[in-house]
Amino acid sequence: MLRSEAKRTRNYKYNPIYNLLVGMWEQRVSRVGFFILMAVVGFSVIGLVYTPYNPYATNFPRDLPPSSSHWLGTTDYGQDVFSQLISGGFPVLGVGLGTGLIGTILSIIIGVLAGLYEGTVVDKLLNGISQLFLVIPGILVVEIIGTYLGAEQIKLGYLAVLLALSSTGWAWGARVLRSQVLTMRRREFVMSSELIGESKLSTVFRQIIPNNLPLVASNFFFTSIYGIAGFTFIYYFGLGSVNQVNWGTMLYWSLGGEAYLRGLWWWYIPPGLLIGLVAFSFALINMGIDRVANPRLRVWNVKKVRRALQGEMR
Amino acid sequence: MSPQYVIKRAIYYIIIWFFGITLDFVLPRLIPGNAIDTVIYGRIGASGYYNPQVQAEIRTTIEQLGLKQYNLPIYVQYFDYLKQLVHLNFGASLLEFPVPVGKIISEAAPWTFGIVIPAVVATFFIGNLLGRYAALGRGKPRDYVVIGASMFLYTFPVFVTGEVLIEFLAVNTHIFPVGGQYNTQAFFRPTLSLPFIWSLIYHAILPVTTIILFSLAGWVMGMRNNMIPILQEDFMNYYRAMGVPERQVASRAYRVALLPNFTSFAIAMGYSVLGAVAIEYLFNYAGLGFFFNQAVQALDYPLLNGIFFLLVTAIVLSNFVAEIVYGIIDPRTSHEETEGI
Amino acid sequence: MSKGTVSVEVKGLNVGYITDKGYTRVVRNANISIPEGKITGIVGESGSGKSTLANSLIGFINPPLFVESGSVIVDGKYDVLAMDPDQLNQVRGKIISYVPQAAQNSLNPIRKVKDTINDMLRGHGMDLSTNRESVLKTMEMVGLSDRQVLDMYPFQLSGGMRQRVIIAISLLLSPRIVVMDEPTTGLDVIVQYDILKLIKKLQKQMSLTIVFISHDIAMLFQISDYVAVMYGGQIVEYGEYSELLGNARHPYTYLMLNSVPTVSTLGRKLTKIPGEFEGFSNYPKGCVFSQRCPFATPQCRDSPPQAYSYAGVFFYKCSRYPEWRDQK
Repeated sequence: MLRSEAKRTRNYKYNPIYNLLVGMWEQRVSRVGFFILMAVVGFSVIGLVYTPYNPYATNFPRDLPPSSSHWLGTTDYGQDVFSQLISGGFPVLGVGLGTGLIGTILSIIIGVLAGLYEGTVVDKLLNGISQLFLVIPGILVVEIIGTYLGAEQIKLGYLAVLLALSSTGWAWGARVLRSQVLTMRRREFVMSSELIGESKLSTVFRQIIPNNLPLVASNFFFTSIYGIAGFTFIYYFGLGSVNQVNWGTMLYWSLGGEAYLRGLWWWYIPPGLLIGLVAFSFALINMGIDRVANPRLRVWNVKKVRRALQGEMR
Repeated sequence: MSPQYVIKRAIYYIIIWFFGITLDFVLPRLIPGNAIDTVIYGRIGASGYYNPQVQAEIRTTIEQLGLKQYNLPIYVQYFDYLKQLVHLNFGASLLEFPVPVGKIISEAAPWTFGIVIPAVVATFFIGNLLGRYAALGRGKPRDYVVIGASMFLYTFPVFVTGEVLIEFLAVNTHIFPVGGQYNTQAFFRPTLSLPFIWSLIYHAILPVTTIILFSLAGWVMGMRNNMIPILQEDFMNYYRAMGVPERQVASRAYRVALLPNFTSFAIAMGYSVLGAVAIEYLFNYAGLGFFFNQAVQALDYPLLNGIFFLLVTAIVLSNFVAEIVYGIIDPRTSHEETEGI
Repeated sequence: MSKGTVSVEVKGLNVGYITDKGYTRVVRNANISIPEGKITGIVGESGSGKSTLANSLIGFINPPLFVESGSVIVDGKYDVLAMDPDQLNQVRGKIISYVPQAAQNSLNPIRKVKDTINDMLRGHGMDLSTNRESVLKTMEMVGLSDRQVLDMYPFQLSGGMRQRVIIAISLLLSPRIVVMDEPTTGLDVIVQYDILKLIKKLQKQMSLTIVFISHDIAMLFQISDYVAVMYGGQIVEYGEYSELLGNARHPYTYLMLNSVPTVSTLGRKLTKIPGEFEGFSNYPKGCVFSQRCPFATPQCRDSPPQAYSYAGVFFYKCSRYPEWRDQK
């Protein structure tokens, strides 16, 4: 669409970020995902300033089912579950989204570099490394490193987990971006801008990435899901610092306390549920992005249009 | 499918595999010097479990495995390591000393594959059919239900799913056993009798179901997102324009969409093993995952090494097989030249 | 024109697209009677709505396409826009057939030709093994006498051969009407000519009614008996090809014909139609062509012309005929 035409038709801005966000908002899938995410985030934010009881306090009666004084009951160690739940969200969200962010940035850098220097040693090297990271399961490696570190009484703190997950979760995005760079570079508008002297770097940031924004956004959420799953995995096996309170440690301790065998569902289902909801909301948002990017996946509401038209004609 | 192509890809995957096992070699040696000693001796010493003679034996074995920082140059250590690999010798497990790691693994592996293989096969069929169901009814409520349910089961931590199943289907209602591989009170050791086989199956149902629930989303979304663009493809529209009923169009589309999924089949096997790792401990199912978990908790390095090696090999192999299978199935790839990496 | 029967009757057809923010009407008030046993060409620029019209003829309206109003009656008795999918499948392929644009994309890429043929036949309750003879005969008719073609994949065939396969498939069930949407696009000139000859031959042999859609004016006029000219979603003129050539009633037809390079225009400067179509979201108030028409008057721009018919079924939508002819 010509810029002049664009200005004439309603409020069509020529900003790809704006368009993607508007598109995501219009898709019901991502709207729902967004609301779920906001709900969980809000819940965790409240936990920053208010908890019914001290999450670490162990002086409550043990194994209490949910009641009016303990909304989600107590753990086997005499802690209030609800307090733990409401204050234990931020690490999960932080590591999850952080992994998404760092992982996506890494995959952009590596993917683009490989694509720009196609055919050279740089490309072959980077591509080989990404294929490597793709095949060999990163989580396993992280686990093993965690185990060995555990020997030194070193437990993985949040930062360590974040770094470990980010450094293993970028491979898929890098490969996809690389192939996108290759495809785009062969298209006329990119070639023509390179011919008139636009630097390669500028081409990347002003042409290639904006045109692949849905892909980058999708990669971000995809990697965030990996971050959350990885976080859960690491803490569940006790490789993280289990004396802190977060949803992952709740799962760890509930496993040790055999909550599922003793009917203490209020201890492990809420954290699992919230972890699931966060990742689920990311997945929904991702589906919305897919639909914005690929109109063929969109769903059309014929009845609505028919009714509207009949209304007009009356 | 030219033999050169197969060989080229094989070499490629062998290189990746080599990186994997090198990683296995490198990781323990990254640990500062006496850490392992401290742990092992600390544990053995603290429990006062082994007499000094056994302790000396342990020491020599560990040294032979090269876990300790050796004075020999690193490449010698590496070749020793590779030599041991060929014999699949990982030394003795620390926790179950003196049982060799190889023995533990070879006894545990069948159990893991026993739940992973049925799970992947079942998920393949159920997931693809569900994905087709959703794709054909896209936009309608059934689409949302299928997508929502499968995605939620996927993002919900798999072990918590397992815990939920145990609590509500085994502990509370006694429909299924709480864990274990078979009824140990009735059967002292595995026999080839019908009641035993039934006990096996009975005990495998919950773990397999957990894996199925968890992995459905991959196939459902894959099939659905594959099928929807295909249903709108020009050649599909051509079938419709020529009066072919939608039912037949759908099954044509389904078959086209199914093709890439066969690739994923092999890969899914590889990753389902990871899923099994997560839940075996929960179900007291003595497979690879169970021992992996144990090794992690108890810092049993030789065992960890061995299991990691097996897992890496399994995954690399499954990726390789997947590529080859796809090449065979899709006539386009086998007729055309494919780029290198 | 001779009093033949009408094959396809389009009445008051309005079709559009559902967009993110509502509905955009594309085909506007289309009325046309396609005669039986002749080749009728529909010509227009890209985006003039001709493909949408073609799809409506076989009832191929899926979201985001949407039929606002109107009817398409095929063979005098099938109201394709009102039928449900099962009924439609009885008509498609058997009564009215379709040759799509870009044949290379219309053949199932992972099936051999014979398998695709089998799929088509099975869609109508038949199969290849019992109808082998007639299939082979149809293949020979379209010029594919080499039986090996059946065992090949689409990507192994040349563009021309793929088009022939598609044409063969469209004739398998002996339909009476064939709608061809740009059947020669993408083929090189010589192959185009061969395909055109083939279509003409088939039409004579099987007494087919052919609706031929194209943007290539010269080619269309070579093959058609009757021509409908589309612009901006409307049929602005419809008549015998010789009439349009010599005595076009609508300015657009005239200008379009004069912009085609021919032997007779060698050395002369070709006329060009200035400007471009405003688009369906910005539809002109009066006559759809008024903004670009060199003979337009303020009245043309103000109110849309009605359709003036002659010789029974032909018509044109210009209020200034025959005056504008004196101005050219």
